[in-house]
Amino acid sequence: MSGELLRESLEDLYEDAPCGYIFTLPDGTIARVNNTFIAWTGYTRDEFDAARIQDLLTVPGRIFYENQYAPLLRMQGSIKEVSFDLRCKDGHRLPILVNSILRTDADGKPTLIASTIFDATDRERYEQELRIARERAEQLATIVTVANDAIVRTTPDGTIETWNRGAERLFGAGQPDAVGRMLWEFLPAFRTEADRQIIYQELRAGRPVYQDTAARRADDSQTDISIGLMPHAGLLGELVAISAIIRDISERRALERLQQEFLAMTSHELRHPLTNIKGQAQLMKRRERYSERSVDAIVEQTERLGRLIDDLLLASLIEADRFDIRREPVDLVREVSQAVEELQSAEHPIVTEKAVDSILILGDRQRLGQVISNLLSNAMKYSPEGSDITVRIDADATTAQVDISDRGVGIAPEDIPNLFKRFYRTDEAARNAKGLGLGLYITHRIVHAHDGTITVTSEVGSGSTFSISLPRYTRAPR
Amino acid sequence: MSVRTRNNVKVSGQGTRAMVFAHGYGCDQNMWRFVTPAFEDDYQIVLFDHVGAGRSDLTAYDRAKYSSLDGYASDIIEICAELGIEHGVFVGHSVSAMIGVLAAIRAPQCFDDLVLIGPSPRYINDDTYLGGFSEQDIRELLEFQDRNYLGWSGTLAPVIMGNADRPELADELNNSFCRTDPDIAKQFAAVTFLSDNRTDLPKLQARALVMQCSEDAIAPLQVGEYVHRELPNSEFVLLGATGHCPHLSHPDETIAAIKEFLP
Repeated sequence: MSGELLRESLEDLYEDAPCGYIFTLPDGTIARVNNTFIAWTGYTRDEFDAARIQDLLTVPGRIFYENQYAPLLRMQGSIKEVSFDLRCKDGHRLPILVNSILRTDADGKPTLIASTIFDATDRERYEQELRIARERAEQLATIVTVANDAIVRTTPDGTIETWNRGAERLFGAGQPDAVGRMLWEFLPAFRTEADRQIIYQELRAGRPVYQDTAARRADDSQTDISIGLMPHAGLLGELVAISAIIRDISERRALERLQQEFLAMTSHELRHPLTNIKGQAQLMKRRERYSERSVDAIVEQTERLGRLIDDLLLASLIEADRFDIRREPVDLVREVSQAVEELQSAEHPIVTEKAVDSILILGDRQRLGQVISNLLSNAMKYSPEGSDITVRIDADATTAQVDISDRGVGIAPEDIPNLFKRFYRTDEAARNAKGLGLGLYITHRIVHAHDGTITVTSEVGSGSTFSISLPRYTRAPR
Repeated sequence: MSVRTRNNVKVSGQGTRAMVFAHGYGCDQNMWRFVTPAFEDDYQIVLFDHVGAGRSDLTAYDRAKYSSLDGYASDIIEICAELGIEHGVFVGHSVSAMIGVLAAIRAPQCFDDLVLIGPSPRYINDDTYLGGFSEQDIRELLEFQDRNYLGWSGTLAPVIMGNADRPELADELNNSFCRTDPDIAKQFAAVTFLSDNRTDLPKLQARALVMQCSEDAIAPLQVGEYVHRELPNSEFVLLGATGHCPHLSHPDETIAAIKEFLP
């Protein structure tokens, strides 16, 4: 290549380079610019005469130029990747990146600044997109962290890579301990390769897998879970990672089991009086003779059926959150006395200790009566024949209290927290197949609806005391 | 923590009278490197970095304390107490000119002479006062901060840099003379450009030199004249130097003006 040609090519390269070139004096006065820079700004070459680079910047850019860019260039001799906006002739702002070198004379005095200018429009857009993407990722990360479900990410073979707090709770294993182990260790159903064959078939086909199974916790206990495994595919469709969302469904499962048991129990409880009624009726028919005893039995069994159905209806109302009480002034002492009178028997004499003659409660007469009857029947059910039951009624200025004590079998401490839960029956109750497990649940809900509380103290072998506190009704403030 | 470590205090020079140099918003004590050699024979040179700048201890940064220039003025008074400085010379650039004025008002024993390079008590214009900027300009400036985290990274700095472990990274990165922690830089910018210390000027007892550059985009001529007018005991010098940092761009002229002013 001839010298002339080379010089021309270099000149072309300088003028029409894909970046702007600009030479300025130390005070910013523009000495020379290339065509590219001129084209970007929209000004003519003449308009750059005596202009300073600062004049092309926005106000913040000018402040930055004076406070940081110029001092830094003077101290370092060069500066890299500083971001500015150019104010173009048509008013639009061109984001640019500037790299500058300071030239000095033999004494070290600055003579010229040579700068390369890059169009940073795309970069600014990427930065903006990255910023938004990062914000979104941070939001998602927060959701994953605080989620109640276990959210786990593994390599294709199941090696755990991420393990959120939900996973720590569900599996009882800390994140440092879990990461690096195989997810399958925690899932007995997927223990062996053969167990996982079907899952992998689905995942490799890009399909998620949902399954209800059991998890093995770090302490070797098991819990019911539902798991969703999501495949992440690479460019060629190959499996590159697996995400798992795991939910603890043990409570739901326990409830389902209770409901099944309850259904069986209810059928049994309902069938028993019916069988009785049918038997008595058939007996009369066969003998073709009216029997006082049979009719009494039929009436008694019908009443029992009626009570069972009432309980069931009430429980379903409570469940549907449609349980409501009527409120009127009720004399609690009278209601208690009435219930005692009805249930008084030789097998379980009931002793009443009244500290007051009358206590007014704002409540539902029928429901309050039901509460006392339920507790008295329970006391009888779980006491040996002949042992007496004590009912104590007391009140202070604001609260009425009824204590019902028996000298029965008592309640095991581990049963007490569950006593008022729906369908819950103690082992003792289950063994004797007594009732539907609704009595105390309903009692508890009625007391609550009256803004009261119910508590129990008990000692196995010596008996239990159920205590109800209810707010007193005062007609007018004194 | 000692004041010396907190503010990265450097003491040199053969003189007995102290000359404290305070850098402005943007960079650090390195800004004085072309000026201080001229005073080393006659003065005790004291250089430091404001907390948040240069090699100051970033853990000492307290958002409440540094939410006004008073916090920075307290640091200067503490440096003087630590080094036993009395009747010294204070040289402050830009925002540090005002910080020095505040320190000298609160602790008059520290400085007898103040050199104020490109001072401005108020950057935003109001009805009767011309500071050089509108509120909109300053708001845009605060947003612009996110574009250049000097000293912290090259490409994509604002996007990728997390909040953790920044100080340790600093040494390996570009543009480190003006390195700033992004969050601190933003607050310092807000404090610098939103402060209004006009009513403090008449309270200064010490002598002062208002050093004004020609064509200073940050502290225009009217502002320098205003400062000179409001200070009870000041001299005014208009430099031929252009820009906002004459101590870097025109150190000889700056040195001469300081020497002319000092007794």
